[in-house]
Amino acid sequence: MARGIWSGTISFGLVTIPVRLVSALVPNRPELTMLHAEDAAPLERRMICEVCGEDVPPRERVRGFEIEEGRHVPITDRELEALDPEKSRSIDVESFVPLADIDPLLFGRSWHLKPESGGEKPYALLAEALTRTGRAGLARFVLKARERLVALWAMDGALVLSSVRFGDERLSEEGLPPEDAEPDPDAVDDLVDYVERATRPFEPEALVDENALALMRQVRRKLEEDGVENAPQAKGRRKPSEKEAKARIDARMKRLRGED
Amino acid sequence: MVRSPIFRAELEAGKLRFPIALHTAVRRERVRFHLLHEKDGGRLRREMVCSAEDEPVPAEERVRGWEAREGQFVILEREDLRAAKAETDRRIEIHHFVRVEELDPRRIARGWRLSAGDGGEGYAALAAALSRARRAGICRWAFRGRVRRGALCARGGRLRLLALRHAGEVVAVDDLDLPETEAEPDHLDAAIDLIEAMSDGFDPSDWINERQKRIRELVQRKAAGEEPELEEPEEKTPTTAEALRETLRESLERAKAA
Repeated sequence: MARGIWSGTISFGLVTIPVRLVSALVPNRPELTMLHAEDAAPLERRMICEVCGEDVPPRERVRGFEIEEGRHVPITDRELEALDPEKSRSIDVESFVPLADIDPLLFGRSWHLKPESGGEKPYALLAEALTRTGRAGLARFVLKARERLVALWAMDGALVLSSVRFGDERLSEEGLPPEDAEPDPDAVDDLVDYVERATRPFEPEALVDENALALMRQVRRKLEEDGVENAPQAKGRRKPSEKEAKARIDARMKRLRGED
Repeated sequence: MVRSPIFRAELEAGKLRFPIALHTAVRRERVRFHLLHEKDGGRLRREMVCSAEDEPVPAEERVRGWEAREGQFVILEREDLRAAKAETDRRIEIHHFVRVEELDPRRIARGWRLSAGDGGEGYAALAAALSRARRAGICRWAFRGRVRRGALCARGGRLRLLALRHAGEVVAVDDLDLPETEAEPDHLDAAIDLIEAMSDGFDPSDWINERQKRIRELVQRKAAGEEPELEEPEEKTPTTAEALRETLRESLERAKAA
């Protein structure tokens, strides 16, 4: 089960619902590890301080805004949060709009919401009401110190949160040809016929990631050519046979094709 | 003005065929920060360190590995990664269409605006037909070393390409294990009334990111030596199932008064 990314409340009108945010997306790309060419040892990412030369753990890091070259003003997460204290704790719907009114070009990533204990009834109510009306609630929400515009909408009884680009992040289509082109009505009629005849149910599982498959085919070729290398941490351990390694590669490719 | 095209291609749908160009549709507007060491204000630099030798490894000595078993890797050099990249494909062929409502927002990875690369007759006709039929064309294209699977959609007489998430990348709602709760009919009527009362059309220009400006103001205040006040957020009390009816009624009254 996906872990919670955030918990807080959503509000519409005076109704407040305790919820938890979980990702609606699971990346399905093959995982590659960065290695040292010389000894196949995995690389570790360090954040080195240019003053003391130490590797600085996350709790000792702070954001800094560069006001002139080499001069920074440190800004803490608490200070960023305090700019809009409520927005990091609660998703307050400012208004509802038809979901279909939001230009799909503006959608970013999505999360699912789950009700926390005690919130089940109002959660189910809002999900059902949004589905019946085809509306989405718009809210400004601060997640990980970053403000996002989000659309709260529902499907199959679940509340979904999708980030929407702000109006000032949208690039204009002014000057995009064709401008004011009038299509030929007969041509449009014919096309509508064709489009309707060629309509099929949407099959998301057919959208196989060809890039990832090509990468795994390359892994397979390299296995045949050069075999497997042990990192220093695995020194002396028996290497998997070509057959064993191939079986793992094939299983991964099957998962990419959605066949397991 | 619109940005100059990033890719040109030939679109094919049935007997129709015309040239198009892709344009970036959104840009990111964000205050940039560096990471600092809180203690001494030193700027942090990322370093990749070998886990066996504890030494920084420069970019030219790095390779990638696919982990066949724990600590055991199939090595991929730079040219192997390059060999796995897709060749550019400028023929965008629409094989079939789907109903637009089936492409829910979770499935959309990103999008580009399209312009016509010719007089625009085919473009305008296809945009009008897709809008009227409420359909999107499923297609595939490849540029910058990557194959994209996506949908050709129309809006306001304009065509755009939406790249869709790959198979298995969107979590099914069934996997959420939501509690089985049904909304009560009279609550539902009240909630729908409230939604209607709080409804508006969507105009993106009403939704501007004001936070960037406020972050810059915060930076200036701090640079001038001011210490900002840290306000504690108020915790909201969840609405109980018993109070739901009354809260909906009160909300509706307020929304109507507003």
